Amino acid sequence: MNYFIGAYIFIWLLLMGYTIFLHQKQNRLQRTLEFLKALIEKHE
Amino acid sequence: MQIEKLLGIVITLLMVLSILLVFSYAPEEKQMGIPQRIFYFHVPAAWNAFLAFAVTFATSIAYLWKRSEKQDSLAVASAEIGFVFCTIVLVSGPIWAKATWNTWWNWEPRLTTTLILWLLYAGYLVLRTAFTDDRKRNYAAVLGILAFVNVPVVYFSVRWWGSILHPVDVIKPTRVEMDPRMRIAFFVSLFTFTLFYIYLLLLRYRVERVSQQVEKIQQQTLQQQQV
Repeated sequence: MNYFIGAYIFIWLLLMGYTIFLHQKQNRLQRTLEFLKALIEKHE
Repeated sequence: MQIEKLLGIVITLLMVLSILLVFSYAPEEKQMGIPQRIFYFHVPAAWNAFLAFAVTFATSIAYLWKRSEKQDSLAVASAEIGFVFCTIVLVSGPIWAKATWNTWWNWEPRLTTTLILWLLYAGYLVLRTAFTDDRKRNYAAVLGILAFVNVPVVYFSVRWWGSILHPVDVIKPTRVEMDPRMRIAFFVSLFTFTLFYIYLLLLRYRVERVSQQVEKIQQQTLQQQQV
């Protein structure tokens, strides 16, 4: 029984891990976007 | 953003409820015993993979029709999430098979066609990294449409070629053999997984849109430097 509870929790953790990965990727891209915009403004 | 946060809280609560229902409320199946409980996340994961690939199919057609970047973003977002769910199906299936039939893998129609489906969408995701211009979107849209042809093949494979491992229909409105408590646990799990898919789609879509903006600025800067 413990084996299957473990497998079930593992699946949910996998999905949670993927969600956290997406959140981090979004934050990183957002920072890059803001940096690039600031850089363009500075050069203009 | 507020809706997304609320959705995240609802999904977390439903996730806890789903685990409790699966492991303490739903009765043990007489023939298969405890391993049958994999059913409560194996089938919802498969359903969500199909749903995600259907969204990719529809948005790929819409992209080729209207050439809207938003449609392309939705297509890739859904394909990636579908790929994650399909991976869960391919991991949980063999665990169930080993515990019940004492074999990890069997080249029976549904397993084989599901593996082909997984490889097709892996190819879709790899294809998108191979190009940086508009060809990426065009080729991916075509593959997004063609790969979906395999989804009905996976579903009907048991009906067409027969299988000793998979039933023809998992849930039928007229079928009454399933215990009502099993039904409740199953549908709560299915609902939770579907909500999770919607949540991930919103998130992945936004990531793709920001990524496209960054890509555009970088390309414009490069072009200006070359001029």
